Amino acid sequence: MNDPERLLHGSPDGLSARLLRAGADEAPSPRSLERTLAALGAASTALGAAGTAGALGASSTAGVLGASGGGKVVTTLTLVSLAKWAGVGVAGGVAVSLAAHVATRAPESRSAPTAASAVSAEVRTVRPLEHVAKAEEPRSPAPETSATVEARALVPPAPPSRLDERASAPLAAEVTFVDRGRALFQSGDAAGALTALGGYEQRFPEPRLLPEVLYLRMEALSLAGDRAQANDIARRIVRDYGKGPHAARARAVLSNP
Amino acid sequence: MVLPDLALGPLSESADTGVASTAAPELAEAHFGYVWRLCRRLGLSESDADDAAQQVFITAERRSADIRAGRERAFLYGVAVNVVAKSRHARARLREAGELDLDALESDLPSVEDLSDQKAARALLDRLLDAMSLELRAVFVLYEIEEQTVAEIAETLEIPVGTAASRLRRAREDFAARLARLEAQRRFSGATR
Repeated sequence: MNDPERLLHGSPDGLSARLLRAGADEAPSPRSLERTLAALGAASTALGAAGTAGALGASSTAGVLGASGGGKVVTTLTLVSLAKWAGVGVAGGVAVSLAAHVATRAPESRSAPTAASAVSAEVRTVRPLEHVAKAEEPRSPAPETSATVEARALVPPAPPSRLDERASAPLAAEVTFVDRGRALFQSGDAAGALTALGGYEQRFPEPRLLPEVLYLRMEALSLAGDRAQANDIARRIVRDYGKGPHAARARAVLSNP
Repeated sequence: MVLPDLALGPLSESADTGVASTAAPELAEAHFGYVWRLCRRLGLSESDADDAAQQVFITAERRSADIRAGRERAFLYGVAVNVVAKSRHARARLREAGELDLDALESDLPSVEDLSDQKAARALLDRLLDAMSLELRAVFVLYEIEEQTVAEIAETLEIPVGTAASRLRRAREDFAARLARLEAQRRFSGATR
């Protein structure tokens, strides 16, 4: 059976062909794809941090979800995906590689000198995702507790470890922090985005979304016309996250005259 | 509008290992334009299409184990339709629901000169598509804009080829009728100016 000739390929002067061609020629902005890649990268980064810290159980992720209910759908989905991944025990190998990534990203921790050592300490001392996977199993006893309400409902009460509190609680705040900056940037408010993203490293000594923050700063600075600083951050992204999802964009920024 | 084939290695392994997260960016890079345009032609604004397309790929990332080799577009289409439907539903709750009023559609039409502007042409196209049922619209968009074959559309929509061909025929008739009506309206408007 032959397919009929497409209206799109009809007479160029025909109205239907013109309309359809206009539709076919439409393309998303490069930034739209970049943002999606950034979101996918943020999910991976956060997953790596979760695996590294070993303290972000699926139940605590659900708590984060609740805490970030006012955030963007994307953030929610990202966190849902974290819970899902953690729940199926996927991230063991990913966690190991990203643990190394987090532990070796000392250069961007210059403004927070204790951060690298703190993360490294966690890498050394915390069991990776084993209890994360268990935490999502209904009614299974959790060997370690998280600080969330849901976890308390599922497992016998036990004193939360300080490590769990440190690792799980700030993620919601980090996501909210980054979302605010992203929203401002997406609305075209570069100055607002830069203000919102300022002090991230100081505020979060375990900056799990740092690649995303750097990416947003770079884009906001570019938008604001501050090429020098945008290039500085682009170089940092290429240097520290050369294989990450933002590296291509950073290289593009650097290659622009 | 030929999009590059996706390297399927990581995804094809995903069903066994569950580790396919590295494939999601590749999936996005290969099919983002397709998904985004689909979202647009299924009725979302540009900014909503940005968000929806992002949501589609995040869902794809989360469900990478469900994506079968060679069926990436079909998977993305299914997710996109759901995402678009939710987005449109959310918007519809903000305004009165109901069929698009053709009289309203035919008012404020772009002039012929305006149609040289791609943006105006797309706006008119979308208003025509808005008046179509989703069932017809999907087939029409996939065939006429994304240039998929009827067989590919049947596979994407998981319907028999005959059904896809039938829907395409009805969609083209529907589109042609609405376009003819619009052109008549424009001629009438021009004659009375």
